[in-house]
Parts: sequence; structure tokens; C-alpha cells
Amino acid sequence: MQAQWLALSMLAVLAGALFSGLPVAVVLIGVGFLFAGAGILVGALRATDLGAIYFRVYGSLTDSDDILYATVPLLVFMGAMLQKTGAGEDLLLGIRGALRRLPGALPIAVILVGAALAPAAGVIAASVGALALLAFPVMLRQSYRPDQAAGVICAAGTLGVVVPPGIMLFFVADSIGVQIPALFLGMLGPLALLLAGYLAFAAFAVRTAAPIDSAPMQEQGPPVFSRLVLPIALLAAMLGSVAFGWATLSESAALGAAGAVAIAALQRRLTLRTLDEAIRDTLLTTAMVFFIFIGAQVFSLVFRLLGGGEMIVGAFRGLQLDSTGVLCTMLAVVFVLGFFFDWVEIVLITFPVLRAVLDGLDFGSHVAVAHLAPYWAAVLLALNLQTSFLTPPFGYALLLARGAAPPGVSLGQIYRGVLPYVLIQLLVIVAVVVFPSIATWLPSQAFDLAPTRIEKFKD
Amino acid sequence: MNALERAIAAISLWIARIAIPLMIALGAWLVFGRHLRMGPEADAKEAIGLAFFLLLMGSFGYAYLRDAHVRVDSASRHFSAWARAAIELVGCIAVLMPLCAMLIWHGGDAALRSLEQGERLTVSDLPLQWLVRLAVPGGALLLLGAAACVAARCLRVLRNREP
Repeated sequence: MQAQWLALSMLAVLAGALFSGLPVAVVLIGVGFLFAGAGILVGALRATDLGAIYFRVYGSLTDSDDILYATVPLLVFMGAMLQKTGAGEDLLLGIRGALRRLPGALPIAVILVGAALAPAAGVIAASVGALALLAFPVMLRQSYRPDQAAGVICAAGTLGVVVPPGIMLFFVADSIGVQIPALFLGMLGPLALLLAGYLAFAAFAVRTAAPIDSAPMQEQGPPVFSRLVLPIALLAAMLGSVAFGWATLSESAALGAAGAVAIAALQRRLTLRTLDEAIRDTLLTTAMVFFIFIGAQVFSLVFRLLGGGEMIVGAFRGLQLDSTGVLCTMLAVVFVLGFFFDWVEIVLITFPVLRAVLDGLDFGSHVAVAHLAPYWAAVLLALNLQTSFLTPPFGYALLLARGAAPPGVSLGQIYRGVLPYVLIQLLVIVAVVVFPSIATWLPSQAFDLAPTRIEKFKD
Repeated sequence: MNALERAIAAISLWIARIAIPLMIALGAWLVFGRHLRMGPEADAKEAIGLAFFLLLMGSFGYAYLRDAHVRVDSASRHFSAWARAAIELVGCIAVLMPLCAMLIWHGGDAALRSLEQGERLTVSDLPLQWLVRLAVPGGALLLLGAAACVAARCLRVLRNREP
């Protein structure tokens, strides 16, 4: 019992210490060390248990049968190359040019670019920040109201994290213990609904204050084929190669990275400097994500040794809710966390703890086949997290957009602009809750999901 | 300390400049090689895994020097420079340095035993598993160096400014 109180205190101390401004990974490791020491003092742990930290880190990152984690730097490199070579901006201007006769061409272009640049959306801060810098000036110049521009930009910026093969989905699947390619496919149904809602709103409700300028905004740079078709074909080829079983996830990411280099070469934008900058960005982003992963390993090891896992499961049982009630409570917890933290912290720290609770739930009467329930839950958690980033007053993406917006755009305007998109998000989440097959039908058709669990972690 | 910072950056970047293109080339080759039956698939997979692990272990110190690790700074950005430096120094001395010491101790021991026992790589069967194990203490050493550099920066701030 004393040990479980220590585990509970761990969560409280972590919540406070995160705001110290130290790197999140350092906080996780520090809190882990502190409570490991306390556990040794009260006799709940032995000093030799701490030796497991090395084996846990080494074992989980060098699984010779499974090179899934190698996918992360490859995807980040692809995103960095597309960004460094100006492919993102090309895509925005190219789509806008191609759709210029349609209402809402520019907002639609912003949404599609947000979705298409999914692999670059390593972290919310990067995707919303980059899109805001790219699209805010263009939209304001085209006489869109600041609130409308902000709404589109925030929605499109967060969309990237739930579009396959986004890195967040990779870690959501890993933390919940479902097959990654199947989760990618599971996201497509809800995404189609989200995109349809976003695009319809952008086309019919987002209007410029002045007549739409139908002239192409920029005719310099590579031709339309190169600026539009190649990046989209690259992303489609990556998804297709995994879905049809031609390549594993890491191989598909390697193809994507090689394709990004090839596109840059075709567009005559490949220089040693660009390549080196992309490698440098990849190194830093990979280090950032995996240092938190290691911190979470240390924290969760001590937390579990102190009996924290059983305590969380017991607390959820104590609520005396049915499985749907417990899932809704979990969604609410994740939603609130999304106000304050980027997905990296939430997915790597919280999801492994929640997984123990998820494993005990039974959705047999609601989800057609029991082994599809974790996919349904993973899709819901991902969508819920994305919605949280968008929701006023604390939505993480909104504060980031404010930081990257031109002077004169207020937080109030951003809140107003984003509300319709939050409503669309909530409608899609309700649809997926009520009709789980939106998330489970496609993966169940494409993959044999009976052995659902990937037992990745070696102790 | 500047020389140490430059050395850490150079080591990390050169590992990345070799590992990332290697992973891309091998990963892409695996797809085509499988269909054209061009060679031993498992060896390439193992090489990708090893390149990734080396990349990772070499990256943490450099990222810490470049301040690339995620921080929740909504409260701390209002702190004085002195307070931020003091907190960072505590993080370096009380958390990072003990972590590095632990990884160097256990990782070095594991690498040494692997070398003595001639432990082999799982797929290619080469007696080089000790090199992989050595990446952990090697990476921890780079991180320890980075922590020392950051601690020195913090000390300079603490010495020069009043709280």
C-alpha cells in the first residue's frame, strides 16, 4: 500500500515538475530516480532493480526481429526534405492554382497541404507553426478574415498528425499494442469524414471580404506536374506499398525518403547543403522523440515496480462504469492533457499506462469482432487528441498559431475561427463511437488482425 | 568546453551522415531486392537496425547541446535567467550525470562481457555484438560531455548574475 502511495505521488510530482522547464525526458528520468530511491528506502524496491533500466533501454531499441523504430528517422527525413526543398509551399500554390475557379480554393489548398504534409508533422508545434508561417500572409493578402484564416490553418495543421503515415499514429499504435499498418488504414474512414467536413465548410462558409483573385498567385518554380503530382504520388505510393504488402513500414519509409531526394533532384533543388540540413533536422527530431521514449521507459519501470499499473486499473474499476464509460473517461483525460502537452509526451507517457486499463475492457456487444476493439479505441484516442489541440481556450495549436501569426491577429479571432472545425471534429468522433466500423472495416478487410498484440517490450 | 562541444557535434553529425543514407539505401533496396531475389534480406534488416541504434545513441548529447529536447516552458519562461540556469544545473548534476554513469557502467560491462564471450550478431553471425553494445556507453559518454558543457554554461550565468 505504501508503494502504491509512492506511485500516486510520482504522478503528482511529475505533473508539477514538468513545468520546471527542464527537458521532459530529464523530468521523467529524475522523477523515476527520486521515487526509485524512496522505494528503496521504504523497502518496496531493491537497489539492483535499477540495473533493469539499462536492459530495458537496450532491449526495446535493439529488437533484432523488428526494425519498426527505424521508420521514425526515415519519415522525419522525408518530411524535412519536402520542407527544405520548398515542396510544401509549391503544393499550396499549386493546389490553389488548380482549384482557382472553385469557391474557397485557398482554404481548401491549405487543408490539403496540411493533410499531404503529414509525414513532416513530427510535432504539432512544427506543423502548425510551419503552416501558419506559410499560409497566414497569403490568406490575409487575399482578403480572408483573420479568424477564418486562423481556423483553417489550425485545423489543417493538426490534421497532419492523424493522417497516415504520421509519426504520432506510429507511436499510438505502438503504445496501445496494435498493428501499425492496420491503424493507418483504420484512420482513413474517419479522415475521409473529417476532410469532407473541413472541405465543405471551407468551400461554402469561408469567404473573402473582397472579390476572389482568380489569377494564379505564382507561376515561378517547377511545373504543376512536378509541384503537385510528384509529392502526392510519393505519399500515395508509400501508403499503397504497405497496404498491399509490398513493403514493410520501415521499407516504405525508406522509399519515401529516397523519393523525396529524387523529387528534389528532379526539381533541381538538391544541394549538399539541403541534404545536410535535412539530416541535421532528422537527427534532432529523432533524438527529441526517443529521449522522451527513454525517459518514459525509466519512469514507467519505477511506476510499475511500485505497483502504479495495478493502482490505475483499480481506480478505473472503482468508478464502477461499463467499458464504454471507462473509455469515455480515458478520452476525457487525454483531451485535457492535450491542452497542455504535445502528443509526444501524452502518447509516450500516458498511453502505456492506459493500455493496462484498455486491455481489461470488453466492447463485445458494440464492436463486431472483439479483436478489432483496440483499433477502434486507438483511432478514437488519436482523433480525440487532435481535437484537444484545437479546442479553446487552451488548445495547444491555437497558442502556437497565435505565436506564428502576423501582428494584429488576436487569440479571440483564432478561437472564433476554429470553433466550426472543433464541431466537425466532435461530430466525427461521435460517428466513430456510434459506428465503430468506420474505423475497423478497412483494416479488417486488408489484414488478418486475429493476433492483435505486438509484444514489443523486452524486459 | 567549446572544443568538447565541437567534438560532440562532429561525432553525432558524422554518424548521422553515414547512418541515414545507409538506412534509406538498404530500406529501398530491400523492397526491390525481395522482388528481384537479389540477396540476403535479413542481413540488410539487421544493418538498418544497427544503423538506427548507432544514430540514436549518437544523437542525444548533440540534441541537448542544441537545446532540441522538448520542454514545457509555459511557466519557466517567466523565470529569471538565474533561476532557469539553477534548475538546469540541478537537472544536469542530479539526473543526467547519474543516468550517464549508470549507462556507462552497465553498458561498458555488457560490451566487455560480449567481447570476451565472442557474442555474435543475430543474423549475420559476425562476432561483433560487442560493438553494438558499446554504442550505449559511447552515447552516454557523449551525453555526459554535453551535460558537462551545459552545466558550465549554467555556472557562468549563476556566477555573473544575482538571483
